[in-house]
Amino acid sequence: MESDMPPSKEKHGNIEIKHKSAHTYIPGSVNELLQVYADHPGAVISAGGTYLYSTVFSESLPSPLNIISLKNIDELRRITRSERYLEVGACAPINSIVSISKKLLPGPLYDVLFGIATPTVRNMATLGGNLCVPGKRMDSASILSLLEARLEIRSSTKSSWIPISRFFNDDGSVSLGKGEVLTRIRIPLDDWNIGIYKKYGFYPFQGMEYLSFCGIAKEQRNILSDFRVAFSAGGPKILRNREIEAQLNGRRLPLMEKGRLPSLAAFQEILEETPYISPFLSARAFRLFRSFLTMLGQE
Amino acid sequence: MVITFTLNGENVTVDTPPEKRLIDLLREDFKLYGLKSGCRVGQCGACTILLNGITALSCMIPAFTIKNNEIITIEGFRKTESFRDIQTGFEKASCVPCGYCISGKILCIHALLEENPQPNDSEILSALTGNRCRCDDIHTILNGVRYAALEREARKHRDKT
Repeated sequence: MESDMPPSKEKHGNIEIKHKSAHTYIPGSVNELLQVYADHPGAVISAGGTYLYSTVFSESLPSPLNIISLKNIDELRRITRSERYLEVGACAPINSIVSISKKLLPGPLYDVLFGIATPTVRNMATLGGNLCVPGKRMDSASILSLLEARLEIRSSTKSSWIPISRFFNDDGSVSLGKGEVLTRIRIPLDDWNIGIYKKYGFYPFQGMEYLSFCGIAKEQRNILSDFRVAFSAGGPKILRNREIEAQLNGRRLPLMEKGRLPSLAAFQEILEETPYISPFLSARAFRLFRSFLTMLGQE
Repeated sequence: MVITFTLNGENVTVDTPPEKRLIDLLREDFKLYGLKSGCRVGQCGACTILLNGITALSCMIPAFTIKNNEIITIEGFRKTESFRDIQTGFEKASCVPCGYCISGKILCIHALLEENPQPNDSEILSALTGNRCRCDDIHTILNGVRYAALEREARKHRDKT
C-alpha cells in the first residue's frame, strides 16, 4: 500500500499556516483497504471520484482529511457471471458493465446504466459509488432494488451479504458501519420480459429536477406473474409500493381501464405523500406508471 | 507528495499536494493549456484527457491517484496519426469547434472511432454528449466525424498494404 503524509503545518515568516493537504492511501487489495479503513474510520473513500469531486470537494477540502483511493484494487473491478447471477465489483466502472452485451443484463439495467451521465463520466464512475451517494438515491438504486440485488459488506472483522433494501436508511444514509465497505453487488439474472426505464434531468444536485423511473414485469400465458415499479426523485428514498404490486400480480393481461384505476389511484396517493417531488415530476411519474400499465400485455 | 507518471510519452516527476486536481496540475505545473478548466464538476468535457488510453475528466481526478499512470493530453495526441485523421475530417466538413471544447471533442471522437470504426449518427451524438458547447452546429460535427471515420479507415487500410 502506498501512503503519503504531508506536513500538517508550515511556517511563512512568523505566521504559521495550517496545511490543508490530505493524507492519502492507495491500498492494493481489499485486505489492505479494510486494514487502513479500520485504522482511519473517518477517512473519505474515493472510488471513481465523480461524486466527490463534483459536489463534496467542488469548492474546498475539509481539513484534516484522509482519502483512501480504491483505484488500485483489481478485486473490486471484477465482473463475473454465472447462470443465476451477475456479480459486479463495487468499483467496476459503469462503462465496463455497459460493455457487456445488452441481452445479458436483466430487465432495463443496460438502459439505466447507459443513461448515467456522459460516456467519459461512465469511464470513471463506479456502480458501488452510484449506490453509496449519501442522501440521494441515484440512477442504479431503483433498478437494483427491483431486481433484488444483494450487496456484500466487508470490514476487517466480518463479511456479510445483505439485500439492497436494507442498505438504504430512511434518512438517506447507507447502512455501512465503522470500517465497513461495500465490495460486491450480486444481481439475479431473472428473465423479465417487460421493462421500462425513463429518466428526467441530469442528476439530482444543484437544484436540478430529477426523476429516475423503472418498472419490470413477467408475463406468462397472458397472466402478470410478477410486477414491480420503483422510482427515485433525487430524494433520500427509493419509492416502491408492494401493495400496488400485489394488487396487480396474477391479473390477466391486457389490463382493462377499469382494472387499472385502483392502482393508478394508489400510485397518485404515493406521489402526493412524497415531499421532495415537484408537481411537474409528479405528473411525469404518474404518466409513466400509466404508460407502463398500458404496455402490459401489448408486447 | 512526489508523483511520477507518463505524460505525453515522457516520464515526469512532480512535487504536488496530493489532492490537487489533475487539470490544475497539468495546466499550472506543466503549462499544458490545451485542456480547459470549464465547469469543474464533470459536465462540460473541456478538461478531457486520455488516462491509460481511456477518456477521463481531469477535473475529477486527484493528483495522487495518477502515480505510474499514462496520461495523454491534446498536446501529445496532436503528434499522432490518429489526430490527423480527425483534423482532416474536420477540415473536409468545414467543422471548426471553438478553442474551449475542441480538445475534449477530438479525444472523445478518437475514443469512439477506436471502439467503433463506423459509428452511426446516434452513436456519434451519444459519444459527444459530454462535450457541451454552442460553438458549432451538430450537422457539421456529424459530418466531421463521418469524414474522420473514413480517413481513419483509409489510413488503416494503407498501413496494412
